[in-house]
Amino acid sequence: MPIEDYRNIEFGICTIIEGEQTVVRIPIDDSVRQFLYDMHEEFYNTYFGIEGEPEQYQASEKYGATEKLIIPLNNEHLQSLRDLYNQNNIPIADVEIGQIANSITYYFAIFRHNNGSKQIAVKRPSTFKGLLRKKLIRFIDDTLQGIGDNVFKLDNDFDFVIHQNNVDILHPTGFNFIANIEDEILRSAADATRQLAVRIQFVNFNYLADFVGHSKTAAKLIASIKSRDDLERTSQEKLLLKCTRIGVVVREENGQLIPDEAHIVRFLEILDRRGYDFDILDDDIPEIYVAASRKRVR
Amino acid sequence: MKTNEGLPLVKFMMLLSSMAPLFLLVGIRGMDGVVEDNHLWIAVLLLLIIPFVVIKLRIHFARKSNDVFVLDVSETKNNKEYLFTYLFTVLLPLYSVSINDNREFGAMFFAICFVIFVLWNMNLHFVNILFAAQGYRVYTIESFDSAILLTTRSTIPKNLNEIKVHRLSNSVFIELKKYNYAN
Repeated sequence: MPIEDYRNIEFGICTIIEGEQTVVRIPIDDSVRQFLYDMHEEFYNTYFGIEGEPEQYQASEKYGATEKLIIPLNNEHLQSLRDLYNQNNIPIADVEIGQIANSITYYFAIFRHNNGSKQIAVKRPSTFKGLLRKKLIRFIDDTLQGIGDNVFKLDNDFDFVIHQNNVDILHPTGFNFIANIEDEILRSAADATRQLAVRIQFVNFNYLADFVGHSKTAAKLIASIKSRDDLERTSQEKLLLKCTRIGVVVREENGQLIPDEAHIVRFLEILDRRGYDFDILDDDIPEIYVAASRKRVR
Repeated sequence: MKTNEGLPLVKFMMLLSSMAPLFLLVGIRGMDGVVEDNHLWIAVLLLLIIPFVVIKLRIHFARKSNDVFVLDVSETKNNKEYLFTYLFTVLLPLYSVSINDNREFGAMFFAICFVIFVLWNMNLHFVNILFAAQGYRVYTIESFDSAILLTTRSTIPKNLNEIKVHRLSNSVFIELKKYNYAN
């Protein structure tokens, strides 16, 4: 998409200083606009260069540095990104970027298309050397001026791009950090766990809720399990069989399954299709594994 | 985060420019016994020309750098009352003062400094005869911390939610006449 297709490209930063988060737009000139456009192009060149359809982002999944992921913007844990996207008049300010570089949580670029749509591309900064103020003309024109040599550069691409309905993720680490996804998930984990009780009635999720509310690993597993659309079809018999095969201790009380406290995470890993066993040796002892990352074979 | 309004020289020159009618009136009335007419008119012309040149330069650089933003103008208000505020609180009271000795000159100078200080802190530097003469109207963008939009539009259509404008300062924006924004 040529740069002319964009009505405007704006630049902004988010800082956290003494616990206070501030998002501002900063004036730029066309050279910085070109840099941001190049980063956006590089993002989508890499994104669409990865084969296959984008996978749904799952918090419990361990991802590589570069992935082709997508997540709906209305996801319950993405309130901060929704706020950023829906904030129409982000304040405009002059800031001494050099002085606050260490406080910058992320920088972003707003791409406003001629057709009226908007994208916000976001990046966790590695360096801010790509921007410089021309002090000689600062009092007349204080826009950030880009410089043309190859010493100072912005990053090559963005971590993720927010659209009206979804978020395209290329670098999951940056996305996790900026969206603060782990803390968001942990905050709502106990409630999310109790909600699962309606969907799998033979598991005592109320018992698990307290534990999940204090464990990031368990909370991420619950978030991932909750996003499945086939939970209601879970077989109690097959689940019990799987627990037995991979050594997860489960007891039954009042017709509901309750995993041993030491085995809660492993029990959730089964529900999230991460705990599995292999039995291809001559002996009858199965090998038990946990998949930090897995992909469904169709 | 420590931020600032930015472009302080431009803001100051816009304030001085907003006082241009007052300076002109002072020049016409003269300061007999305090400043000779020749010197007074040189000072008045400098006070008229320098701010004008700086503002023109700012617009030039804003165009050159493509210093543009898209603003949400879904909540705007036409601010004709600013002109009355300006006329009745600044121009007329100061105009009625006659300057015949050094003490009155000092009092006038102090009054102007004080007015500039107040206008500076209230971000009222957009009241400008230069813009008004070119047909620019003043709108307050209420959804954007009451920033000021200068535009020649007689109204902001209700169905126009966003508008692309040049930045004069961080609280004053201008939709330049005859500039193709592709809005």
